[in-house]
Amino acid sequence: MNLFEFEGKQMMRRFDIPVPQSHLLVRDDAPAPMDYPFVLKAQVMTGGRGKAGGVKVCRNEEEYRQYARDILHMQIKGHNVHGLLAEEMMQAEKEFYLSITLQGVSVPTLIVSAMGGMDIEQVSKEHPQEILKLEIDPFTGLKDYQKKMIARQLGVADEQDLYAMLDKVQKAFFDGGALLVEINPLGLVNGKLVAMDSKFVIDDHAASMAAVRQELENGREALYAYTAPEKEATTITYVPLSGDVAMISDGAGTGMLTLDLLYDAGLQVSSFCELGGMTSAEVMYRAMQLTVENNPDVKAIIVVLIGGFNRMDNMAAGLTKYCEEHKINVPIFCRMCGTMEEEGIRIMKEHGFATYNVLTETVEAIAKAVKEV
Amino acid sequence: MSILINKDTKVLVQGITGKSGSLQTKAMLDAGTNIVAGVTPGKGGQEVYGIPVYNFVAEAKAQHDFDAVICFVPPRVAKDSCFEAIDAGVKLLVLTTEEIALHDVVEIIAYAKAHGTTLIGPGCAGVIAPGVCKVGAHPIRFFQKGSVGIVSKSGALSYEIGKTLTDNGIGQSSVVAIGGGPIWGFTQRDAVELYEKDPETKVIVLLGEIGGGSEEAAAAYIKAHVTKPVVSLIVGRNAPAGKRSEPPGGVVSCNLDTATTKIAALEDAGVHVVKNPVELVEQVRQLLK
Repeated sequence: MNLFEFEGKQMMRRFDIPVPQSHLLVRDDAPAPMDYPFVLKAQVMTGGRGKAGGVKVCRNEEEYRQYARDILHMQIKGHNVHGLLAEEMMQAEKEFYLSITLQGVSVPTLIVSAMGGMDIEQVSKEHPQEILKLEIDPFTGLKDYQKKMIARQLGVADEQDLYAMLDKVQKAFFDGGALLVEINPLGLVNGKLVAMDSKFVIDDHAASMAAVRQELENGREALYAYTAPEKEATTITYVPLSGDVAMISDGAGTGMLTLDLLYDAGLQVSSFCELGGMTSAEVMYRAMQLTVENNPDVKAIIVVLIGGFNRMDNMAAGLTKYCEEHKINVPIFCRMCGTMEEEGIRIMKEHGFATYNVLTETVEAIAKAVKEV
Repeated sequence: MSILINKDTKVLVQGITGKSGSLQTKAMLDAGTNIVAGVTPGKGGQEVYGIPVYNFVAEAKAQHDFDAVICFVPPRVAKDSCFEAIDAGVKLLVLTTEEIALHDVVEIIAYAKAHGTTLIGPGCAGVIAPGVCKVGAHPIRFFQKGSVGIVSKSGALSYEIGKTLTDNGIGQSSVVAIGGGPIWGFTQRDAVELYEKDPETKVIVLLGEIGGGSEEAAAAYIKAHVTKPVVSLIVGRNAPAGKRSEPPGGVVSCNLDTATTKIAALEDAGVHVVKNPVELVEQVRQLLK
């Protein structure tokens, strides 16, 4: 779960990380929440909002009214702005970069730089010596020597303040079930470190954070123009594309292989649907529903099943149930093999569906059929 | 020989009384696997297909010898179950469970590493040595004994290619599916290293997918250390973009995210990169001659 800045800062407060005073606004006609001047920041699920005009300093009522209206109704890189964070102005003597991440790495990794407030990727490319990366052992946390290395990299005067900050950020990362905690900039204000911006990503599978995720979801309902993204109750991955044939598979790897084979055979694929780990007749039924309802003009559907954990009798039951209930006319090319395949193929046959055994032959058959239409 | 497992491997099944655990226990027994015990807390004293069930791994250890564990427990208890298996001193731990919190995965991997346990997974189909033993979910009908060593992230893709080879009369020494990531206890590189040393394996098949940098890591290893022929199929050449996480920049990730860069790295390492299963069979057949 990706958090908005204001939610990230709530999380930071939860772990006693110093953040500026702020108020969330969800209407453009709310009275000024604090004394001028203050900063108005777009709450949006993308970076680069500063460049897009989504961060403004308000010095008086007139500016505040103008900016509140402008920012709340803008789109940034195709993302709606879902609220405004009014935040006290802070003049940082120095700006650092600090993050701990589990995204794109196999061990929790701390990244720190004295060049904060900038795009960290760019810093990494142009000034690699300005970046320090340290792996954190999940059982010991940051070791003292690692903290000293960080202090040296940043060149801070008050090491104790830095160490306290590092401990809190670590705690937020580990106890918060986070995949990313990013503070950019980490400001030095009156000699003390303050998290001036926040990016926080919580692992959807972290059981300890289930209640917090729910709390955050509830809080979002108050947001301006906020519509919750649709969530599958199942493990299905559905990706809409455009083309003549829709595809369903019971594995991401075989799905991608099938996609490659279909494109190589000159077909365009209208959707990619993968069942995920927890398969059952119901999941197959839902996959058919998603695929058929979203692709009314499709010429054929290819269903690629190779059961290990996944049972073919369940797959056949879900598929035929959906077709029976919805009178599907579009031809279905189903490759079915693996666990309980005899029973699965029997059920398919009973409902008038032929099945294939070899993937490449299934793809050839569907390609031939589509080209003849 | 095969890699990771052999005819002497003795296996304990965690979560043996569950739906998946009991079904897979039956399938593993049918594959010739020597399963000596199972564990499900609170179900001690029961039997599953004649296999005695214990409440704790330590209780089973007092009665039986085993050197491998396969784990079918739910995600929330996976970490503790793995710690229990690792504390029992097993050499091999196959963790099939998906959707485990990533912090738990990090701890499991670190703990296994510190205790010298080879961890396959999480979220993996495991390993099969056709005709000998399997500690995983591979349906035996797709495989036959031979001299091709397969490694794949995806379980289904390893079945697919195993089946294609078997349909064409080409057998396999071992087939290992390491899981979909994003973090692995055992990588493609690790499998290639074992296949290089395994006298039974003549040709290595590396099945890769777009995303991450693990195929590049395997390619670098192959270039430096591997003398056996390697054939690779990278799927997802036409996969839609998106659905990718955004780490803080190219700062930490390998940033090698396309099929093209993976294929280039593999070809540079002297790997025979094929486009589809038909080409794969032909290439492997040639190399086995």
